[in-house]
Amino acid sequence: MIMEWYWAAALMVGLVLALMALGFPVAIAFLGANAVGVYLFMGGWVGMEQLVGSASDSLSSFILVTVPLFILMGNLFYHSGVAVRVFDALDALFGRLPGRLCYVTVAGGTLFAALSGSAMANGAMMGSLMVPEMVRRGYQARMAIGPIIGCAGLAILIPPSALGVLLGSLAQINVGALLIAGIMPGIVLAILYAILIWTQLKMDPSAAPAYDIVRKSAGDTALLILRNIAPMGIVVFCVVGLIVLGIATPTEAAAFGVLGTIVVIALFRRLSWAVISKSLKSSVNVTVMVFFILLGSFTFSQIFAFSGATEGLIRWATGFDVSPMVIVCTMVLLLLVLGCFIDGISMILITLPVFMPLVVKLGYDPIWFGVIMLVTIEMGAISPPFGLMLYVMMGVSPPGTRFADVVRAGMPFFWCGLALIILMLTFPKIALWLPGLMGR
Amino acid sequence: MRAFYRAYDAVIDGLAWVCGAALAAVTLMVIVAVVLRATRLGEPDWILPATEYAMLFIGTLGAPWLLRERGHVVIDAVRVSVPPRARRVMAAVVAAGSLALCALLVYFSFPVVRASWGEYEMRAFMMPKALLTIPVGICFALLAVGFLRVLTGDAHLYEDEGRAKTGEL
Repeated sequence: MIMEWYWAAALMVGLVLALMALGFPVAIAFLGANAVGVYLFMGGWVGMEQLVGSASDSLSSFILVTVPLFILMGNLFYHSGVAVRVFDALDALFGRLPGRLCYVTVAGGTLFAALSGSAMANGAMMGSLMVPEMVRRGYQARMAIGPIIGCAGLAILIPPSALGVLLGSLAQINVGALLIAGIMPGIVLAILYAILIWTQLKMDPSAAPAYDIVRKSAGDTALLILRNIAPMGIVVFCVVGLIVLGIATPTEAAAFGVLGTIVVIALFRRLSWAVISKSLKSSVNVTVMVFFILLGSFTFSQIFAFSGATEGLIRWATGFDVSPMVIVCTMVLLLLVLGCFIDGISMILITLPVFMPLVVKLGYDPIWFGVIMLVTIEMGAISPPFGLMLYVMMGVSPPGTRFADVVRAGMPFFWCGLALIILMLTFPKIALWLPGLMGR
Repeated sequence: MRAFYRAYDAVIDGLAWVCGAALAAVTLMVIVAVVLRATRLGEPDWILPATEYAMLFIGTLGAPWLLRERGHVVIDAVRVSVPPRARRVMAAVVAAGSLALCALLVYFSFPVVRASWGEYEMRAFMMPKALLTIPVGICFALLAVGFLRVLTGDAHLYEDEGRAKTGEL
């Protein structure tokens, strides 16, 4: 069927959004829209056979192996309880600093972002570890919840990032470079969080009351760090180190990341069949969820392009007499609005077929824009009304905490994300410096 | 019907176990491949295609189990804001629509399987193409049963309150 590109685009995107809004599982919503799309644009029922046939092509990809392995790493840490020892060691580092548990959360969140590919696993782990302790120490709910809401999402930016792999493979850009590009922005964001906490406590010191702790000698602190934090270097090296050194591809590095995680857990004497079994089950759960959405959405971008919608949209968007940066800012704004209502994977799948070709056409680096997309996804996870991290935190918040309290606690961290995006728009090197060192 | 659903549960649980075992096997295979390559003992060339096929099996064969576990991502923005009666109607529409779509995909998977029968994908080993198309058909057939179960009230699609459970990364 011949259709103007704008009608084709409206039909495809509108169908997906309408089916999602009705409550269809996201994967089924994509499959439904694809079924209508192939029937209309790809030759009727013959197109349906292509839709079924392409399902096996969508998942048989070596780069996708990275996704379950990064998720497995996070689950192994979560189910083994090794995180407790890491946080104890970090705790000793900050001494009597006012609001020290908030800073411990930022440091721990950043470290675990480098050990796990799952923001939700990080959020649930930090929430169950840190919130009860902070509440016991008299921290106000916003100071107990806010830093966790912010820091859990760092796992989306800092490698290993399962969403980063998905975005990179779907956009057909260098996945290793995209993962490495997330490191600097992740660290900048963690620093912004620390500055925010310092400012919040300057304005209201009672939000995180000081309390006496038993001071440890420098030798004891060093020993604690050596015992509990240094072994994590094995995992970081297995993932980031092997990719940067060019020894392993992201997929191979992910497998070694799992091996490194198992070694670390064994060193802590926490390795058991129960831990492995629970971790595998959780990982299968998330992997199947992600892969089935991919299966549903694989042909979406192809049909979108086939109908002429991608080309038409790009022609239309580049036809305005505005600077390319205005178009990029509009795309970021659209992502932020979408993030309030839909999850990260759906955001990627809906926008990528249009945004990435447009970014390339405008002359920008797709790796740079990929990192910006990851930041907007992280912000979406803490955006009301449907940011998933807000709901995860509701589950671990002290009794009596209202949803509005969780949202208020998370909002300052949302603004930090926006500040990072502005910094990256102004100084693209924040994202592109490290991939440049890899000789990209 | 109860005996049928018990058998169905056993099948999808078994397939979930297969997915878990496949994930563990993939981890081991990739590590072995890199170690063999690094030690110049020669990397077996069947490992790469085997891991790729494993991704297909995990993604398709685990989906019916995940439906029962209510693990598929659902956007609950509209659903939670309508009255309970409208919510029930919406849930029925979703189950019926999903059942119809899955049944349609099962129907169209037959000619695809037939076309792939006897064909082989030439990689490091000869992979029967039917083994790559049959899991897709099985996936949609089992999903159709899962949605039928939801439609007849024997199972539920959503968590009770708030946004549906998701396994977001």
